[in-house]
Amino acid sequence: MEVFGQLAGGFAVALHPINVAMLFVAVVLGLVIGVLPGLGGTSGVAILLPITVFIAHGSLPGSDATTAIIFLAGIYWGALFGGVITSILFNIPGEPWAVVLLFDGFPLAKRLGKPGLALASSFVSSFLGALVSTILFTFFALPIALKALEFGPAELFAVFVLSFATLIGLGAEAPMKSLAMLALGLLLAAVGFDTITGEQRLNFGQISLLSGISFVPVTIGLFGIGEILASAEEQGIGFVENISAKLGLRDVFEAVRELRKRLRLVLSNAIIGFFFGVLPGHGATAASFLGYGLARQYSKNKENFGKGEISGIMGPQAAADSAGVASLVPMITLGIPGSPTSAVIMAGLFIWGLQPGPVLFIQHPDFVWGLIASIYLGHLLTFILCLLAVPLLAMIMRVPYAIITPFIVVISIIGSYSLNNSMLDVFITVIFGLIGYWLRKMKYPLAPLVVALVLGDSTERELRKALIAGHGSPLYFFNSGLSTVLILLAVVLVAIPLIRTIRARRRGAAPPAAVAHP
Amino acid sequence: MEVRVMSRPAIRITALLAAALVTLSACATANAPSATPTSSGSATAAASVQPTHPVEFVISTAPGGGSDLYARAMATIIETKKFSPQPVTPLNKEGGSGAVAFQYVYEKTGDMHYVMITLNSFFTTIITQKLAFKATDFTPVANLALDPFFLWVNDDSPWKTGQDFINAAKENSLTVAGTGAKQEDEALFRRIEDTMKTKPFTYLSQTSGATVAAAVAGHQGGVVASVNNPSEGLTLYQASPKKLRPLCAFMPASPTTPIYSTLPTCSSQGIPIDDYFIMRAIMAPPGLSQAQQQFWIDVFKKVYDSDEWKKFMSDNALQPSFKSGLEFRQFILQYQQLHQDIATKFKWV
Repeated sequence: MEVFGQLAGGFAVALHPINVAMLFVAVVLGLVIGVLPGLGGTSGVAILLPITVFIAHGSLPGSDATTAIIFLAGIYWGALFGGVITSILFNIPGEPWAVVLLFDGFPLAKRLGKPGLALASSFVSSFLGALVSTILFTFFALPIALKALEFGPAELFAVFVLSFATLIGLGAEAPMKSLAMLALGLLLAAVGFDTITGEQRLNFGQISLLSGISFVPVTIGLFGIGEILASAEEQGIGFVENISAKLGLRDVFEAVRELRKRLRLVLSNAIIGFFFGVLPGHGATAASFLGYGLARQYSKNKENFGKGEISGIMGPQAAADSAGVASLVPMITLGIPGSPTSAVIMAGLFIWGLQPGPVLFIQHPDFVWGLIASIYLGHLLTFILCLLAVPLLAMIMRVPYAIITPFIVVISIIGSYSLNNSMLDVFITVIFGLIGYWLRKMKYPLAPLVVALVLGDSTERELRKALIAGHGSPLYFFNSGLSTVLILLAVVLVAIPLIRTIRARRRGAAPPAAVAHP
Repeated sequence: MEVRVMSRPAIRITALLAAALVTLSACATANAPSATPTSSGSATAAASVQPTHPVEFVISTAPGGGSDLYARAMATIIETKKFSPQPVTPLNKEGGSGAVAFQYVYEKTGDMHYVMITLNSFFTTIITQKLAFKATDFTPVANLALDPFFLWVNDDSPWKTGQDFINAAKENSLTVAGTGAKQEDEALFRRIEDTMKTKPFTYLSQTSGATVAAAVAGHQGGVVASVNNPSEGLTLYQASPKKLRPLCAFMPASPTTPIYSTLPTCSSQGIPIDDYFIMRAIMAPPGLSQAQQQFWIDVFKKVYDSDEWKKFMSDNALQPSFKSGLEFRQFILQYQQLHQDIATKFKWV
């Protein structure tokens, strides 16, 4: 096949010493950027963009535009892996797509005392997800990108409804409380600027609120600060202190064993993540939530979710990393970026004097195939680095929680500030820290709030665009076969758990006892 | 039950929390006095005619949009050619179609360590959001290029000319897409509607120029046309199979970029609009001294004259147009009036 020859050529380019060296520098930088909350992959790539001009114009021996894109993309891969570390260790999301790892990653690390396993689980599923995605990228980039063009407002709305549907069961112990949190999340998502009419909405005349309430400071507050406040009062809610972290790769082997048990879940989530990533503008974060919802929906141990279930780490992480890789597909093939980070990488292409799109494949095959080959290499490199770091990272957790608490507070505050250099985000973090504490005490589930806040805006926008396009008729959603199928799928996904619950109640069996935390 | 005597670990945690808070407030107070020297620093900076610390290059859109791309290209040229004694760092302040960025820069009155890239939202947003200031309050630096509009359709469209499109638009309300609501794309469609007496367009607001082009290419939501800039439509125009096709250019003469050189003007096809472009202009906070304003004009003139910017403009089919001083002021007044008229006519305010 022609593709294999081109890929071999790509590897020849990517394995050029300067390219390997820059890839290594990039993934290390990316890991650091991913770990720092607030400083995300997007801003990391943006900050380093000017440097790439020197790289692209051959300031380093043997470097060219291919080296430059390998460098920028490498930062992205590092950030995809690194973003989860603080989620798992400190309950602070390093990157938007790592928010979902707060649900099960931190509990596994801290409540069950297995930080090494939690980290390793996330890394192995990241790697497998990325691998699946890169293989799909290699073989089907253009046809899939062209297919994604057909996703209009009705289809996208259906996709979002699908994501919500898989998450319906979250916090099933108290459906009314989940519903209240979902509503609060949607309300918060509505704050800001109404992009359909161009009107201000719920901002109380505050210009700075026009950018909306970003979910990163909210989650840093709800989870990071809220958890600290709650644990300060409750003496650590049964945290395992003095975790015995042995330097070794035992956790890694255990994670691989756990991965083999969940191979079907991880592979299917990786494929779903890929398609999500290809859809312009949605990318890794939405995919991670969908991945979590699916993992939970098809798990036999639903009640373990939120308490440190490994599927709750592997499911979303495979989808997120796969979507991250896939977000480069529409950018490279059609010039339509699939995520903010790939948008900045596209800006790089323009600045180096390249035009993304089909012409790129014809005029600069070395560039395209060098990039594709570097995605394989970059992930392998990041994966090895991360696995080697697992024992060291787990050691941090041996420090009693009380001692690292002040650092977490400081990192949280700096992280929210550096997101947009805005004090408003710091206030939001502090306020949501208090709200998070109170919600915890009242035993409200936090996940539905976060999901609604993340997906609410886009869901609303697509719904309204579809209704405008259909001149107000809801039947518009059944205009295309694609959206009909997706909507029906969503309805089925909502209906199944509902019917199950009703049946269980009819039989007189009590619904799963509301498990209260001690 | 809730009230209980604190156990020793709890006390330890509380103490540490308190320590953390003390550290934080110490940081905050440490910042407070340092704020005073900065403001007095800008007082001395008022005397100096060039930046004395790093400069923020504020971008009013999200990463990856046209404006962001142009600002990053300019900042890169300034950095690599050392046109400024201090680094010029791009910073995205997106939100409210530019309102957040405009407010942010407006509040930096008299401080030359801020410059901002603006497009037509600089007029539309200030008018429609009823912001507390006017476009003319800012210190104008320069316009570096004009980005023309083309009329784009899907390649499988039956229309061959601008006139075909207008005839169809007189028959039915066509669904069209553009970036944002009550912004330049919608302004142009409303002008077409008004000038050509077509049925009102059904306007679908998209989040970026790239997604507008994608909407036309994929028939998303029944979208049949857009007024994308040449660079936004280029990849899908060159795609194989071809997905997009320009019908005409809203320009006084055909574009000079080779790939578009055969494209007729819209006025030659009976749509007499040739005076509407997206400006790619640099603004500074209000109240800069003339010398400070001149410093930035010189920097951006050097950018404009650089080979890198010339290549960038030709790659992206931008119309070279350097305006500063009185000429730029008149341009600003003219565009402010034009957008005010559209906003009034279509009841955007």
